Amino acid sequence: MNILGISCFYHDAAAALLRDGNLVAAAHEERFTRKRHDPDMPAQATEYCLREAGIDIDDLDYVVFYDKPFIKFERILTTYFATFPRSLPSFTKAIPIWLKEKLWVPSEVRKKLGYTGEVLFTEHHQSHAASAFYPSPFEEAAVLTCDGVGEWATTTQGIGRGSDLELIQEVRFPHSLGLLYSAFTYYLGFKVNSAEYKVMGAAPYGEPKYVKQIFDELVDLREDGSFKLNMRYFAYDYGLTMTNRRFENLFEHPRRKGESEMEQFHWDMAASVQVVTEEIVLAMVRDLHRRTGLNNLCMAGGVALNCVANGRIVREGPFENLWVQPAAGDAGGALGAALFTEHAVLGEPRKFQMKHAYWGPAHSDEAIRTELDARGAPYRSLPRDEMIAEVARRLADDQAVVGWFQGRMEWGPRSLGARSILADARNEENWKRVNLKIKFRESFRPFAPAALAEKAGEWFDIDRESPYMLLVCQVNEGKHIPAVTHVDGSARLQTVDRDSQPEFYDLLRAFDERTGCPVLINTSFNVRGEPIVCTPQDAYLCFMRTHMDVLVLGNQVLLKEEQPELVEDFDWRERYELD
Amino acid sequence: MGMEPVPVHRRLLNGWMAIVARFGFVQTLVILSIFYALLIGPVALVGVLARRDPLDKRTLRGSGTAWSKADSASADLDRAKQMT
Ligand SMILES: [Fe+2]
Ligand SMILES: [Fe+2]
Repeated sequence: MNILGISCFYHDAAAALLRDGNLVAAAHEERFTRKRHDPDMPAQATEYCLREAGIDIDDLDYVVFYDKPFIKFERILTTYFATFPRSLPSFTKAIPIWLKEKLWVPSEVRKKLGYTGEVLFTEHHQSHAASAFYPSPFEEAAVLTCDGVGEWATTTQGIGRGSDLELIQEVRFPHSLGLLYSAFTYYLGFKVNSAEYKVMGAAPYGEPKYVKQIFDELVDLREDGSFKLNMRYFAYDYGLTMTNRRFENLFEHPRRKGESEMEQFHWDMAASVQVVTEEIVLAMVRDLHRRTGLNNLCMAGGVALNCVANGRIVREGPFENLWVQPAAGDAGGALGAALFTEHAVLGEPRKFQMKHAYWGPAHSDEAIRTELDARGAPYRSLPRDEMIAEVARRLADDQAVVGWFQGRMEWGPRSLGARSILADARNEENWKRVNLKIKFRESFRPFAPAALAEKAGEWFDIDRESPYMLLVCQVNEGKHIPAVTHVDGSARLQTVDRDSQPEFYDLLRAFDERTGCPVLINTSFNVRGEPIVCTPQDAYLCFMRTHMDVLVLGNQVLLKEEQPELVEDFDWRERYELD
Repeated sequence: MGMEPVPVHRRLLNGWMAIVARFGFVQTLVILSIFYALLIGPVALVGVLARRDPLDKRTLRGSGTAWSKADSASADLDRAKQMT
């Protein structure tokens, strides 16, 4: 049985392929089209998944779309009825797209993927819940999904048992924790559905001064973790913006203009909405624990990408275990749609457990060499262990910034050592260097650290693995890794074990042996506004356009100083929008 | 793929899109606005008169729960085939 799950039309399109219940491949469309957050039908991601499985589109038993378009459309029409006549601008903008493609999913699938069989549909939060529970290590678990909005639901609580997955209750649009966070993201001048992580990263610089005001005026949090928003302050239900004039008056500041200076007020607002989010998530988690009495919790939806909140759930929540799937956002809905169909709809028993995030395309050393030879790029092909020793030496002794490309590409928004830029975390300068010389930005956020799993406990206050960089914890006293330590002493940790990423693990070990530090800066392999690199060619171009010192493609090591100048007849900077 | 007949709604839609393309941006806006007024307006008016609150925006400070029951109908193939 071959089931392809797809998510698209809003943000972060993706495809995931199950064969007899096992995940074969999963990838974000943006990595192939090189358009960040590409929302279009994931034709190239699908093509890749089929190639990985060695099958044809006609070999698929089902294609499953990750939400129910008609229910969503009904919600949108209901919203227009309820907000007449203010919703006119939104109506004229949204309706043509609905009429053009969003309502005709089966024929879009036929047209863009060339698939002629049956198309199935799962509900948005069923997809999220399935993506969180089925691949988890738990036979039985409570499930919390929380995002902007799907059809009507914005938050759901559920229970998964074996192949059964049931959603118990939900909070409905427009009352949405994801949209509350996005509203503050918007108000603080960042890009909605994209730069929420910056608000989280800004929070440690501020005082959560406005928490009370937010709970008094904007959010009514109930004892059982449910909540309502005071929609007088928000515009996302009727307009083209997230917040309205009343919101600005309440906080006595206009919306911050993008790219302008962050003032104390902005840091404080970021800190406040972060605390409010954590409080609401914790209240929902406590309620879910009371209701289910279970020890295991699975989470998905965009809010589950808030790794500061996740860190608090682990430390303070009543659940013993937490599992968050690496693609917790809408891209993960592709995986969830396929899994929900396999287990909940068709009743097949569970057998797949996700133990790593590397479900994208790989490129052999041979293919890499062919590509480099064709470009005339000088490189050295080293035996694996020598390559690792060489890279560790460059990182430690030369303080090199290294582009690191190994094995299959990551599934989910984070770079996890397959398509990463690495540098020495002990060197505070590297915070600035990597940002200015490679990402071409100034950043108030430190980088994320990757650490050897078995030594993570020595360096960080953490008692479990965090393979997908979805937990924030404190850096231990006396450990000096300033390039990855936030002002409040926290870090967004990825733990690396040998089974899931042998090359990256061995590199961290070699670096540890050399320096006594099992930690490296691990940031995404891209420039600002660009999707993470996918192919050796993407990686080479990114390497050449920036001031990266070393590029490692499989066992091939390239030095910047040996490369011929890159001649391009366009300015690549204009290709990518600011993020 | 080319063999398949184009469904009726698709043909109507393609026709509509062709008209829209002909008339250009401003006209599209005008047509959509008329649609908004004629289709959404009356239903909205009925909603206002009946004091409906489909988005549950009026009662903010409630004491009870804001959870609603999730639809727990069984997940079967027939249901999965529906877009609703
Ligand atoms: Fe979602
Ligand atoms: Fe979404």
